[in-house]
Amino acid sequence: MSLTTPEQAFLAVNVFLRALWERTRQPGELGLFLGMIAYVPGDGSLDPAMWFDWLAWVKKVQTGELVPETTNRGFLTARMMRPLDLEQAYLAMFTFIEEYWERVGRPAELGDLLGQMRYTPGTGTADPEMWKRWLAAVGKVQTDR
Amino acid sequence: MRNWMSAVLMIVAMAACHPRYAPLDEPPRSAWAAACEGCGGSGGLDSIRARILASIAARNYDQAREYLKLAANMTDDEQARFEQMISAAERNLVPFLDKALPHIFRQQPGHFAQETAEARELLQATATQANFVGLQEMGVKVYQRVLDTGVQIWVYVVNGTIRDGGYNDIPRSAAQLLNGK
Repeated sequence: MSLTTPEQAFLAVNVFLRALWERTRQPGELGLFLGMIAYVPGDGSLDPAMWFDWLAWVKKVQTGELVPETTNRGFLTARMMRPLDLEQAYLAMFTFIEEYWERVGRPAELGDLLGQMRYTPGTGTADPEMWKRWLAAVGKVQTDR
Repeated sequence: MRNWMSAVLMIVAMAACHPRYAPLDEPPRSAWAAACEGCGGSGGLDSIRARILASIAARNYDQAREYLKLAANMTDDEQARFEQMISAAERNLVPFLDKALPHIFRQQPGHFAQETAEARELLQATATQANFVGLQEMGVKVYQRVLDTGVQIWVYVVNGTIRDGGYNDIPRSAAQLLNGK
């Protein structure tokens, strides 16, 4: 369980956040976000832009270059990206969620979640449980493949 | 000499403090004139915008339109957008959540790049019972309709406000719209 494609990592994001949502099963910001990023095989995400936002952050993690929100990200493809290691995929997930959180006026529910998820290299996630959950989500995706 | 100087200073000070009354024969300003105070600058326009939105919130649509007429410096696009807002509210269409607007209207695939009156109308007119697809497991109400052009408009509603919306050039099935599969 080490390297993962952008699609597998995106599925892992779905699994990871879905498991967090299952704790309360309440409609709200996290539920809405999950609805937007639900994976559509071969076509990205239910909200089409979210797939390209994801790829923009995968690219950022891998190259240091971010295609800005003000530029149409529709030219990005998964084939442009290299496989991600678990830390890269986690960091891409964090910044992907954080960008959305900023865009929609920083809703508290996602802000709290980001606080728990914050990752410091060498130290891990603010809430250690989050990293364990991430490993479990990636493992589930790789097992279901 | 000192007394004379003190008296002059006293008169000057009192004149400065004396209240200026408006002439009694000045006609009272209408509410519209008061609203339009400073219409020429952006501060005036901001005031008009706020008054239009407040009137919409109060369901006073005639007044909202009156305020809109005062916004002489507003661009045609913005005027059209406000007119659509008033009209949509009159028709009891589901409103947008303001904070979601930067996500809904952006230059990305499947989204309308600009918050125009036409784009707002396409989305709001989709979020009606006739176009209801179903409820996602996470509590999001999903609406869709396919236009004559073949383009599918989709809208997400949570807690009575539009939180996301856009279009698919290739329509997705109801099942896909609900869970992606």
